[in-house]
Amino acid sequence: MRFIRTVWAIVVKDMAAEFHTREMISAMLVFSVLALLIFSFALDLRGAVAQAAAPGVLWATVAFAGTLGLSRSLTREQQTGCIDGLLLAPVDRSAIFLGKALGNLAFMAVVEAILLPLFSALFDVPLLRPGVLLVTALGTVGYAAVGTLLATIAVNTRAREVMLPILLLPLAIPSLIAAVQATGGLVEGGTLAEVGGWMRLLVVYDLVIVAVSVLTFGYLVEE
Amino acid sequence: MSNLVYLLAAYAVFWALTFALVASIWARQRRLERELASLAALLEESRK
Amino acid sequence: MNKDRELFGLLLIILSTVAVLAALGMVFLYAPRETTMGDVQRIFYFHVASAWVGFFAFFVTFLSGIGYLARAERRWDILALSSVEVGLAFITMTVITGSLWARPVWGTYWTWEPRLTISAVQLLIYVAYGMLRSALENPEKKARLSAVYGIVAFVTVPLSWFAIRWWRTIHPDILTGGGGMAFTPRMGYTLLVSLAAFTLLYVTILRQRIRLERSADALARLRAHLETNYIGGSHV
Repeated sequence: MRFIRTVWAIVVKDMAAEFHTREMISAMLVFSVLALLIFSFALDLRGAVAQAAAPGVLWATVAFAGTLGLSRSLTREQQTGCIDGLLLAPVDRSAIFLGKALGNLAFMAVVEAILLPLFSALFDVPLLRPGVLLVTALGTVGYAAVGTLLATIAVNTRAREVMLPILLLPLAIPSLIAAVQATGGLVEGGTLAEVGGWMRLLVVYDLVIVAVSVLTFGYLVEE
Repeated sequence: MSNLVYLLAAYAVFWALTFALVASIWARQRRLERELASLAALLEESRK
Repeated sequence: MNKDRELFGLLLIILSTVAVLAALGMVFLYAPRETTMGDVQRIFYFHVASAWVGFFAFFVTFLSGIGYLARAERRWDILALSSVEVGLAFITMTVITGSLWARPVWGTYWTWEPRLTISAVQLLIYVAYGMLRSALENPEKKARLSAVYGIVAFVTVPLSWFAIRWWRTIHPDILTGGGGMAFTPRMGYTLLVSLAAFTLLYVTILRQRIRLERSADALARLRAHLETNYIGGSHV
């Protein structure tokens, strides 16, 4: 039970720190809206084209905004020296990982909570259905997990934040494809059963990623 | 048939890349061995 | 012991050269002319063989990553970085030859055909791995962090493969459609020989790359030894 308490403590700490300034979430939100604008202009998204492109634009935006939040959250961690304090304590390394990953997941979720209604309105697509919400949750879980692991790696490099998208995006491909296809299928009127294959892929991806991350995170932070 | 150009190009790429890789390793190996030899000689000198 | 290793190395070089030449011979003389695409189809054999090596090399890096995390011995890191370098060359070959095959057959230099797409993804992962190593200075950190990246990256490759396959099944390219090839037994044998030849080639070049890295390590050790014991010309 100490494990769960540690995880929870880290999540609460991260959220409290962010709530104080809200700079990261606002940056992610503003960036997302700007990305949305750029996509709309660049791809000339109107009418039926917009509806067809909506899932893709949504997930591309989430992916890019996510990398912002992930690097920011870990850089802040490094600057405050917080992680060193955590490591001195006799806590399970995977608890630290889960705490950080859940925190990042929460930040992304907050941003998505605002993006989904926005996209629904702008693209005229029904994104606020339970099926789509489930897909969004599954996709975000995997992304936050692998993102947290890779951000921990990236923060050690000379290039820092710049390294994260390069490391992360190729690995997020299965999740992104599945999420976009599942969302698209559901939005066009399909049932959850019809996009079942994609859902299963998302679940497998999440399980595999979380397992690998939990197993290897300890090696990243050892001294 | 002009398509054969692509066939030849593809195999040229195979050879070029293989050769480039092997040559690069070989050149680096030679440079390293030269440096190793000169440093070993330096060591001998210093011992005297 | 060194003599044996040298002899084995020489034997490998000869074997792989013979194998590659044999494969080449089969590709151009033994394999039949494909009915729909013509002679251009002969690109297929070395294209698939290099794709196999590209994947296998990363698998070796994945295993060495696990080895390094388990044992923290330099030889696992040497194996990882050597395999990445060799694999990168082969996966580049895959992507370029795939593109050169697509052009005459489908009229476009790029198609989101599953094998070509997954090769491009692997290429990007290789590059990311290389960039990660370059961006880290401390050798121990470099080995440890890239080991973790190698592990997690490899694990996503089969998942990407499935995702891309299903994606292409649902949304096939209108231009390329299914892209069928009339496969005969002779083609099968040629492919097998090509795969074997490329695997031998991979192992041969890998060993040379490992040897190179070991020489670099020896040089570094010698330098360090000289610096600590013979600073400024006088024995300390």
